[in-house]
Amino acid sequence: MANIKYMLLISRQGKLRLQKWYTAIAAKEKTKIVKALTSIILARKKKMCNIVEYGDHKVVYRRYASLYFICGISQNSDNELLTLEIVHRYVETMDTYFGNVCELDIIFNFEKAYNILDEMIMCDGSITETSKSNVLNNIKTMDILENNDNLDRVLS
Amino acid sequence: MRPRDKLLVLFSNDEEVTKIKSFILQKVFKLDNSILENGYNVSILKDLVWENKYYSLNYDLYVDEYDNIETWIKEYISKECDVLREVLSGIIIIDKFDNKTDTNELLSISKSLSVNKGSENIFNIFINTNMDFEDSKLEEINDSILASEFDHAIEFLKISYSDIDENISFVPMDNVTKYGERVGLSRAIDIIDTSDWEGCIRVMTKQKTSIKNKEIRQDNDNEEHNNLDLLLKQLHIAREQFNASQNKIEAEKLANDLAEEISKLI
Repeated sequence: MANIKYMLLISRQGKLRLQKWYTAIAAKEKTKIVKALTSIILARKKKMCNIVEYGDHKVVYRRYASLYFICGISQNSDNELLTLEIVHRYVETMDTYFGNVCELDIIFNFEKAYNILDEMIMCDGSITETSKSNVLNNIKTMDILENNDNLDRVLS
Repeated sequence: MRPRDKLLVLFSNDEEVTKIKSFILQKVFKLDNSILENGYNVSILKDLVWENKYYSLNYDLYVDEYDNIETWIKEYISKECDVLREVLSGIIIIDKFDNKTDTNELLSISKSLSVNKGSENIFNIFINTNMDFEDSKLEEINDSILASEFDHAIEFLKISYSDIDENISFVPMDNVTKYGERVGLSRAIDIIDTSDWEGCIRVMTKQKTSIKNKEIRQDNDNEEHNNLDLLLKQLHIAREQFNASQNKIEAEKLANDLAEEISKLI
């Protein structure tokens, strides 16, 4: 099982692009975690292990182009490799949706990136959908509904 | 607060760097030949348009040259340049760095350049024109820069090119690393694309267009205007038909069809 505590997306420039918290953490603590992990992960060399111990939990990260996907998971109960697979599946799904996703896509379509993530991971951090096509179909349906809503607004 | 809508490109006056100056300006900033026809004397280019598939914005490009970087920095941090420092979004330094170049050298340049409050929002890109510079060394320097906890974005890039003769021919620059990250001048474009452009007005565009100069941008504006006219006409007709329609299912179908057409136009 994998119960992700949080997922962060940080650019190589150290800018936080996405953040999703699956456990209740105080705002001050969140800022502390983001700041600490940004410097810890960015400072790690490319060939270093993708799993780091941080505080009372483990952090699994993976780099795609100029973006670092960082997940906090429980020390004993969660599977690091499964978490890496989830991250990879998330990136693959975004890649299909945006067509070769890049940092700019995430900056300007952050709500879509969150929607895709929400389709894959439940609010408690456990994985809910592994099928890329199911996730994309749901997102497509949401897009159609959104377009129709916009049209209804114009027509009314 | 003034908008940070200026980019500074700083070339070393090394012979090899000077040779490819126009090439770099053309490739990164998509300046056309008419702008560059004055040769290497271009220094301030106003009202250029930086454009990518999501936004476009107006910016000014400052181009300068240095003989000795330390002397140039002294001038840059002087009081006369206070205003300039406040409106810069990024500084791109292009030089022929040799294999002895180390992280500290680049960090000390970046540190000297960031004397203002808010300088953490300015990016620094170092572009090395030295083809023989080892890739492993480049990686090593970038790793050390990331580990340095410096407060703003610094990247060290390298461009690759084949023999320099009168017709400089470059190898394709869209090479990507095994992490899918673009390298060289393409990466420089990525950094500018994702920079903050603090206080600048970005015009959002959904058209997939590349960076173009102002004239081409105007053409695009006309095209977008025509599309908008068409869209409004269609909406107007649809509204009339929708109101006139007694059948709810038919009206809904009409709305769906129109939504599809509009999404095609967008």
